[in-house]
Amino acid sequence: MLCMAPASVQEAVEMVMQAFALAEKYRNPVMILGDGLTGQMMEPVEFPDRLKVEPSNKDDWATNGMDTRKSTRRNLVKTLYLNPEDLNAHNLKLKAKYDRMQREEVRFEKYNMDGDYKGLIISYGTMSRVCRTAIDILKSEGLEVGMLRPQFVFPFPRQEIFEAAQRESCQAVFSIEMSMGQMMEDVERSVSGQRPVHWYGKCGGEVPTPEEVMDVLRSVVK
Amino acid sequence: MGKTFHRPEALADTTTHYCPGCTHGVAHRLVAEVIDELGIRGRTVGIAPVGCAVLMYNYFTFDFQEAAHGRAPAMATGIKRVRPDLVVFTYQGDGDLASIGLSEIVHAANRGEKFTTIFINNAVYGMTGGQMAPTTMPDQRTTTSPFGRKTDFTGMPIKVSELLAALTTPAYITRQTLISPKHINRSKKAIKKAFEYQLENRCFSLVELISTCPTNWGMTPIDALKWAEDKMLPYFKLGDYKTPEDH
Repeated sequence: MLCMAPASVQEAVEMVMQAFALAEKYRNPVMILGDGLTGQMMEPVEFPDRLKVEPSNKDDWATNGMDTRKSTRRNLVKTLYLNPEDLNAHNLKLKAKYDRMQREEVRFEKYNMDGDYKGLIISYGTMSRVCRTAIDILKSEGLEVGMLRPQFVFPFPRQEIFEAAQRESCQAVFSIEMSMGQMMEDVERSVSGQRPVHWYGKCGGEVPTPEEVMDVLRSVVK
Repeated sequence: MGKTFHRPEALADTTTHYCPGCTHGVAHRLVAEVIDELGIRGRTVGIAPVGCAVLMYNYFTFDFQEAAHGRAPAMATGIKRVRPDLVVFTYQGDGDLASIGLSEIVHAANRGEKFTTIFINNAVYGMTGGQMAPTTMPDQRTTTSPFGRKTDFTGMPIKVSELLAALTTPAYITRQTLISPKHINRSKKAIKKAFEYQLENRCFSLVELISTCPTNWGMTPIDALKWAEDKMLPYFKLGDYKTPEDH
């Protein structure tokens, strides 16, 4: 399912609005992957105008009562298909939906990726903000590091990470997470062996400091 | 000469998958007759459970949704709150409602959600192969209590109607049975009353129906009816446990 990873309270607010619109578009649940910090932090927020969502024609599927849609045909919402052929067809329909999400809903943000970065960080949520600070300090020291921040962790920006890792100056890719490396596999798949991939992270509510991130970068990228 | 007995419009013209002697068919017909009589087929939405009745949507001719195990009351809550003009009912067995879904039904009833629940209590998990349910009778043999339900180890059967009637929120809670024509007529009256209370936007309503499962009980349909009368009815006493008029 679509999974959004906000990095600020402002972004969380905007994503909640988008989440409803996308849930409507795909008729699919949307998950918002917050973390303890975005969940508990106070930040000023500007509420954007309400998203304009084109109402979909629900009459084809919604159990809104036959009278409502002036129809003699009943609607049925279910997921149980006992006949393997029917289930296969249903799964193909779902696969087409997920494929469309991958085509249309990749969201990411680039930071310090215009120049010749020597290291590339992939990080989402609060962790990406710590990485920004680390990148700024490293830059002042003369070490260029870029960051690609997935705003949605599904669909994952595979192609964009693959291309970013191919930059000639890029020596290594870093998956920096507040988890035990759940994103690492996705990053490795995206990089497809073109560059070494390193992981750094902490979990349980501990947040890695910019210094720790800088130490990891410095130990690998020269 | 006019036709005096016919298939309700709300019931599909099809063969069901239920075992011989199963009372689901009777309960389905009663629900369909009530929906026809109230003229609400075009604005009724049913929620199917997990269990033998999961395929019940194939036997009715109005909108239906399928819920995750025990979660029919949550789904019904959502539909009814968004569209209070619709008539919403869940139809759940004892494995679905009294076990995994017990919390759902207690909170839905306590919130006074304005939908109706038809609760089929046949003292056993049917579809999955006759395992012990929370409603299984003391010493009743099931595939997971082959020596009979031992109450010192598993407690006594849960009386769902009494449990829900203990809540303060006004509700219509009644227990009926499908073991004889007399009782079937009473059950139909109770189902109709439950739907009428919903139409009047009065309260949550639950009709418990003591039912039989000859296949999993290992009995003939007639022996099963007798067993329900002898073993279940003394413990699961019939009657209205709560009506909106009580408040």
